[in-house]
Amino acid sequence: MYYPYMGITLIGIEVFYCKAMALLDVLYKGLLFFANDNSSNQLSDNQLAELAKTDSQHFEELFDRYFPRVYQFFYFRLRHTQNAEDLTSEVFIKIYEKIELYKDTGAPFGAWVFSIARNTFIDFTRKNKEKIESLEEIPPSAEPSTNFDLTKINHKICMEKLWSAMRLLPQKQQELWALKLTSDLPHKEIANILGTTENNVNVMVNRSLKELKKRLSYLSKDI
Amino acid sequence: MTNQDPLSSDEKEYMEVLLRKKLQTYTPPNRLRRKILKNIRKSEDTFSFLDLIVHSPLHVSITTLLIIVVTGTTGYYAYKIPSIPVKKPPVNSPPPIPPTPSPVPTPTPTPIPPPPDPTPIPPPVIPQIPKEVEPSPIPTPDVPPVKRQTKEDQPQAHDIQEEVSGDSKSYMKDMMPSRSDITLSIERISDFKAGTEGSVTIMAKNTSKTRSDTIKLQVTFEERSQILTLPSIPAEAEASRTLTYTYTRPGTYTVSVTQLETNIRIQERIEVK
Repeated sequence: MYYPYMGITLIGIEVFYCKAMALLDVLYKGLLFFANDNSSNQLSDNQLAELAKTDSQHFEELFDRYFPRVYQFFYFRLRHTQNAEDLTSEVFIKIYEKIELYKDTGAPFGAWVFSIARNTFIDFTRKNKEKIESLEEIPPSAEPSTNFDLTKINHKICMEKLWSAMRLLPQKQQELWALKLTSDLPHKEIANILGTTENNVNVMVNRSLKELKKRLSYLSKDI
Repeated sequence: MTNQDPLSSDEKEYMEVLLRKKLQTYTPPNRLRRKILKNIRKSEDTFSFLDLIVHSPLHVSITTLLIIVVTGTTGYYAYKIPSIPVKKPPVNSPPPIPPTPSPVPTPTPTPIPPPPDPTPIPPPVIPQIPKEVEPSPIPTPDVPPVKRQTKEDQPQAHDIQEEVSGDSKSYMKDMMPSRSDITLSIERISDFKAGTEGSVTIMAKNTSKTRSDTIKLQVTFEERSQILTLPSIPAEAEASRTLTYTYTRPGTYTVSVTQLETNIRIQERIEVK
């Protein structure tokens, strides 16, 4: 025989269950809050990424760690504020949507983030090919000076000239420097992102620095 | 030319530091941060039931609750649907027909003359009989257990043969009188001769001072038997019923009256000349 008040009883159980669950949820979030407050700063990016899969607060923490660097990566490559902002936004939406697919293989989390950033940049350049101007072929404006010492130049002026000269490097080297300066990844990880070897990265770095110095020496007369 | 200028490690570090410093000046606007976080939260707010079940730390509780709700609802409707056409007596049965003792004597199949001393019958007060009239839980010591049919105890509309004299009062006050308060008697009205009709009056007196009562009688005349109901006999009042019989031949006839509630029986012998 069916218990006539079964429906009412079930509703009662359900209401009780909901209340209990809400209470548990509050307690759980409270515990998480205290746990995060005490230790989230000490967590590595990889640990934080694992937690960010289920908790948006951890994702925001991760976002804050990478947001300026990803923006600078795009700005370094594009020198265009609006495009850099758009691409940064696009990258973080992608990261948020795909964070569940991230697997901690021992590589730094930054390698995963900057791989996404690089791919996003490549997609962007394919779509906007005509807008990206290559300055590789622009010749130096003057003859290089002899016995040129970088350290003796006013560092502010030197910094500006270096920044400008960076635009004159080949795209591959610009990409390398963008990753090196923003991601803080070791050369090995940068090589993985670029699909090359660590040795090749070392060579490219040296080569690009020599080129930069050469560019600056051309300008040293003006400095 | 430039190849002749070696690049010292100091210079390398210096260039790198300068570039880093320059890059640090390009900080992203806070507006962009807010915009991205807003977009992320917006996409987070889109509720996914699967996410709730799979990713919630309380997924076991949620799943259990879901199973309880689904099972309960299914069970509830599975039992409820077949029970819909079933009429439950307290809810769906028509209200019981209250006794309507007619003020005018109704004709019976056997012609019954009016009572000899018809007393004016006041308009009856229709008693509001509750549906479940239970017998008194305290049995009377001298009453043997008899089959009690509570519905039949109540006056029925089809008892059209009754001729009741006496005041009808509401017996709501005391619905369960003791059966021993009823005294039965049989009176002859006329002489009996073969080939003629003779009447017998059955008297029932309620000796209780407070309770009204309804009784059922079984009257047997030779092999003929009939059931009479005398409804609502007020306290300290009498009710009577007159029956007329035709005596075809001389002899001794026996009229017996049994009160069905108590099985008390009285008999009267009638000599027919």
